[in-house]
Amino acid sequence: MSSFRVAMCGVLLTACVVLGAAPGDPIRVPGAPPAPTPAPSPDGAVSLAADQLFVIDSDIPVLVLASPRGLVSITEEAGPVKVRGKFVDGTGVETRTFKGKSVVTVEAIAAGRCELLVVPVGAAKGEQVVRRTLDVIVGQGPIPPPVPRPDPKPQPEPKPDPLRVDSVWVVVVEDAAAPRTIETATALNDPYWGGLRPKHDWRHYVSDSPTAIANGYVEQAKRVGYPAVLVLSATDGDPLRVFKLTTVAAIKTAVTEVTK
Amino acid sequence: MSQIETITEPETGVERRLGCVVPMVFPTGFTGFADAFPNEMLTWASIKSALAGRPSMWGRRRIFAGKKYIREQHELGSCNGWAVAGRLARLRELRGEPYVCLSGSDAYSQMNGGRDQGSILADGVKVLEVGGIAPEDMVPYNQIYTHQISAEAKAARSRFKGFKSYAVDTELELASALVLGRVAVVAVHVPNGTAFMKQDGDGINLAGNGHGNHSVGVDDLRLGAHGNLNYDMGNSWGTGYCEGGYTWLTWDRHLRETVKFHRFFVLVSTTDDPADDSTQPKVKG
Repeated sequence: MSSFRVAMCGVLLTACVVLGAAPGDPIRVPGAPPAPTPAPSPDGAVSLAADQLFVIDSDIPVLVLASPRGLVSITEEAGPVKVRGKFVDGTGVETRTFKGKSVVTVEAIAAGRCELLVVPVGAAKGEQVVRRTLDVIVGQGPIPPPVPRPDPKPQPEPKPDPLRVDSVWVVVVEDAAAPRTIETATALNDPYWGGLRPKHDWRHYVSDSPTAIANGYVEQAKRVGYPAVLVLSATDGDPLRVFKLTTVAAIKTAVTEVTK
Repeated sequence: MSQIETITEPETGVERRLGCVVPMVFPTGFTGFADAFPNEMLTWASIKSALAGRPSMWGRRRIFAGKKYIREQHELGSCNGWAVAGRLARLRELRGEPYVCLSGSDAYSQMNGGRDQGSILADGVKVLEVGGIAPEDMVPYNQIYTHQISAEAKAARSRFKGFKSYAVDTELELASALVLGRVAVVAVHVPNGTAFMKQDGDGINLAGNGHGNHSVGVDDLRLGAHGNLNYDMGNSWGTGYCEGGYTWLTWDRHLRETVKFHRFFVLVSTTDDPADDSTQPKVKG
């Protein structure tokens, strides 16, 4: 843990205290908010409300997993990126700029407690993994303080790949109103696509395609910017990875990370 | 429309009806590619840079090889239908849809007015985006009239449509669109004699410019031996035509005149087939 700096904007010191990390570390993960609204959990969990963003700002490629699945959505995009919203470690709506190469946004889907694992790509040791416990609060009024747990035991080392799926759909959405570049065309015509089948499947869309809109692809794409790549669980459409298209290599990496 | 022209292939004796008819009035009302995507227009330098060192931009002659993709219109004047159907089938695959051989004769039936007297290139846009095209296993090559086509085939048309076509007037528009992965439908001129059946040492078709009487698809491009651009034309006269059904065109030699008489266009995307078994998931949540 000591190799990471855990900080973000005005909560640098707070977050550092929470995780005991040194400034200058490459991954910045928000900690508990500075004000007690909601009150920090006695066991160090961070409350994530439906209208809040939990943003991980990393200078190195990271794999972010949530366990159990289904409580939060995780989207990744390349930084620097400017984000406006309510942050878990903030006090209201604000605009922040995240300068890391990899910016991962975690948002609430369903209420419950889950653990967030931030794994540097290529990590060889368990202590390189940054963990956060999230109390996800959805569909409630004022946010209550988390229930204290009587015996917060040390959490076990993360299992290597608890969330991988058998098969994915890789969907690319281009902006119908914006120009396609040669780089995008090259990525979309790469032989890689033909090799995805039969295990996986894929489609390319423009953003005003009725199917892309009806299936929720456009909404996801808007969050990371066009052209967007969505790696979806083939069984239930869970957005396992959502990021802006750069190269086919980045797509390969994402598919490899989330599949068995 | 003017009268349909015919030629007889010297070597095979097959009579070919050249079904791309010059409209009496040049079709208007189509959005131009450069107007729709002004920032998608590339420079000659960037196009040539992208093509440098490649046999072609996308290698599509190899990808779309054989009878699966190069179809045969036989003695009918249905070239326009096959050019449109072939581009739609290819672009569907390029964006992830499964292969379906689409019927050029079904497309032709929607633009020939009930007679085998050819059709206008621009009518292909309406067939692509409004009518749709049925699979060839439902409408074989010799069914070119509406009354010959089953209700099942007509119902299937809506599953296979283009999504967004744009007019092309200049070589830079055509080259930009192709370098960016689009496909195009154009008109070429087939003269009497054997020129259209032959190529020079660089694979360039020996026919020349004219008013344009034959509809074909263009799926790819390359940097030519003389620094110009060559456009990969897919024909619908079977795989015995030139090189597996393909030949190379140049703007100056083959397209500069025909573009003045016919509405060239590029296809940008396709719709999803609602009957596709591998229906993709909706985003959860």
